[in-house]
Amino acid sequence: MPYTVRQGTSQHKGLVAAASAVGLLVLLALPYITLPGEKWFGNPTGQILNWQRTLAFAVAILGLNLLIGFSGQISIGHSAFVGLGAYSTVLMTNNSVPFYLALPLAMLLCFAVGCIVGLPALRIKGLYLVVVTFALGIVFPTLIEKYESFTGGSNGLKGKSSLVPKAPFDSMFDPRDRVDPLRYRYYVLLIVAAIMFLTARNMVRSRAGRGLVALRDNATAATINGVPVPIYKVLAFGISAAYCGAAGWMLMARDAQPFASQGSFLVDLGITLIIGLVMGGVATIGGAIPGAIIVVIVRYLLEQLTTKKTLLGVDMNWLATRQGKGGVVSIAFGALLVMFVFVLPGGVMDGLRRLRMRFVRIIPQPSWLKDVGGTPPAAVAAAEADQVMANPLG
Amino acid sequence: MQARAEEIGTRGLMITGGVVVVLSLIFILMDGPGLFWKRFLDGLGNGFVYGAVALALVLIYKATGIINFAQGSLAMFFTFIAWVLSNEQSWPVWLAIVTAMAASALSAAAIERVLIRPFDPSNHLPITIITIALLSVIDGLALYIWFADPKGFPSPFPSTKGDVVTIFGARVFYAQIGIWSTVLITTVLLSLLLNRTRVGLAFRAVSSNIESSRLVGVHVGRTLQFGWALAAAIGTLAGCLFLSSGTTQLQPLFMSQILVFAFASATIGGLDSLVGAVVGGLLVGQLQTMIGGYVKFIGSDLVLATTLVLIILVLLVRPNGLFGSKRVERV
Repeated sequence: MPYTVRQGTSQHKGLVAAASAVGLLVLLALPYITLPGEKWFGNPTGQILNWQRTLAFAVAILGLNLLIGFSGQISIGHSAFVGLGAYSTVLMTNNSVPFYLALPLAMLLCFAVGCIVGLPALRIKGLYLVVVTFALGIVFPTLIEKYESFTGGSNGLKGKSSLVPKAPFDSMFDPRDRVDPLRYRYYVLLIVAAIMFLTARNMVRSRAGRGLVALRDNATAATINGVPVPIYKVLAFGISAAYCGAAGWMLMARDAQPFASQGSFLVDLGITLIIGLVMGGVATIGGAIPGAIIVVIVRYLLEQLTTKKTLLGVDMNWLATRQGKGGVVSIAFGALLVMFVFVLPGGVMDGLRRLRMRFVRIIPQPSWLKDVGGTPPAAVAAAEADQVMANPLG
Repeated sequence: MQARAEEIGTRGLMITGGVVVVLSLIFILMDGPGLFWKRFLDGLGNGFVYGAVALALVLIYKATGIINFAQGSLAMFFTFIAWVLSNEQSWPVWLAIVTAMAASALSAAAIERVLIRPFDPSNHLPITIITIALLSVIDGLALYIWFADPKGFPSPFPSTKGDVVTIFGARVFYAQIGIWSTVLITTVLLSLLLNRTRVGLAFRAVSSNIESSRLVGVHVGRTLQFGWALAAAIGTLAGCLFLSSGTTQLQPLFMSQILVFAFASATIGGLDSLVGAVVGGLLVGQLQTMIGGYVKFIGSDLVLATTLVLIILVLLVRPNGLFGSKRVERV
């Protein structure tokens, strides 16, 4: 029998506070925890770099979720916006724009480009837009190659190492230490990610967020109810692009010397983002975190797996020495994605929610429930259903 | 609920024709008719291939209402199968290609049955995501089996240096003519299949209205499966044809650029029009060579970007493509 609490009571608030505290502690402690087994998780530096990558991917996936999950428009070309964010960051900082100022500027640029790309949404419906985004994802690397003098072409674009934020307090983060500067940058990224997540959460719960969900579920009905469908669609596109731009900035803020290479922003990245999005949970805010963990950490583990000569005593040399072993990761991820869509269409978030409901049941107390008087079971059930923003995959 | 617009494509044809004639005149004035004719013939080969892949995409779109992102990967995989059959088993090339087409049709039918049919056809998001997952799996599989290094694909057409015919002063390889005629024949056969047979009638019924066709006794699932099989076979044929011209070699990613141009063709033509797919393909093929040849500051690097702009422009003027039918929604 699960432990039952009512929403809004002190017990419920306590539980939420405790869970948040644990989550926050884990996030803060991550760069100081070195997972055992360097063979699998990489050395301490590599581990922190992977966590930084996870944060950047989480922001990108979150942005994409605002578009796909909440407004129902599919884009597989958002790799272009991550790339745009990264390249514009390096270009700006190389032209002596302060690194932190580059973040809002990169986001603004991506927002503008996103709106322009999303503009056809005023007239183009549904799948035609998907095609446009796909083409965008393919076009972006060719543009980088074409304007070589500007972007470094296929050689990539190096930033100046002196521009990356240095820790202001030497006592906490020793600049001569091998790991400490990495830890500092992890916290910078964590703060940026936290701001992005809070903003997204508030946006989704706002009038505009509800309008987006309405237009996703039934555009005609949304129009009739006064949702300015075209404007919202374009804005959703722009905002998600801005989030991906921020992710690009984060990817650049990760390394001691920022390096944007055209090869890291191919359409594959756009597809990876969608994979993370679906696995984390469509139309959820928190889902971006497990999604990012899957596409960064689990992927890293899988790649490690393909290099091992033996695994649990089984000879794996046939794989480790194979030329096309990189394909194994794609196969595994594709298969995993299919499994998720079939078995757990709500993603990890839905799985966690179901797990939680076995132990703790939260009875929602929305304002309208008070008007009903008491808590008739039907009303409680309706309120519980109302709590979850219906998953368009389910 | 949809209603087909009355005059299908007549306006589309007129607009396209007008733009094409004006552009051609400008180009002819720039470099003279000889060079224009040569470039035109060059663009025809690619155009037909794009048209063929676009046909496959449109078939799936008409059947399932989604864009099959795995279309290119499927075609790539079975082009590899054709390569294995002809190179390693030394089958005749034509037989290898036909066998690969049949195999791709069977696999696509199986994929449709196992991965696509369980979903509600009117909910597009899960099906689209399944096709993206398929893309990942198939690309990975091809990379694992055949590695990334390019391989030469044997041409089914006579393709030595001397196999050239001169048409009005421009030299054309037999392989080119082979590609044009194969795609044209495929298109004619496809339209006969869709317009003159029972299964084609069922397919058109399902693509027009799933519920009503179910009520009049059409087996919707099997018909959609038929559409997937047909699309996969056409895609495989297009992949093999593209490589037959000898300009590109076979490697796991060779279809991705073709797929973009095919997307562009299908979009410009209107996602639900088979005629539009072929016309769109020819237009995009011409655009590619003409832009590369005449608009020097864009050059061949930015053809993709120009195509993207073109898609957006066409869609802004005609949101359903040049030949697509308007969908009227009933609430």
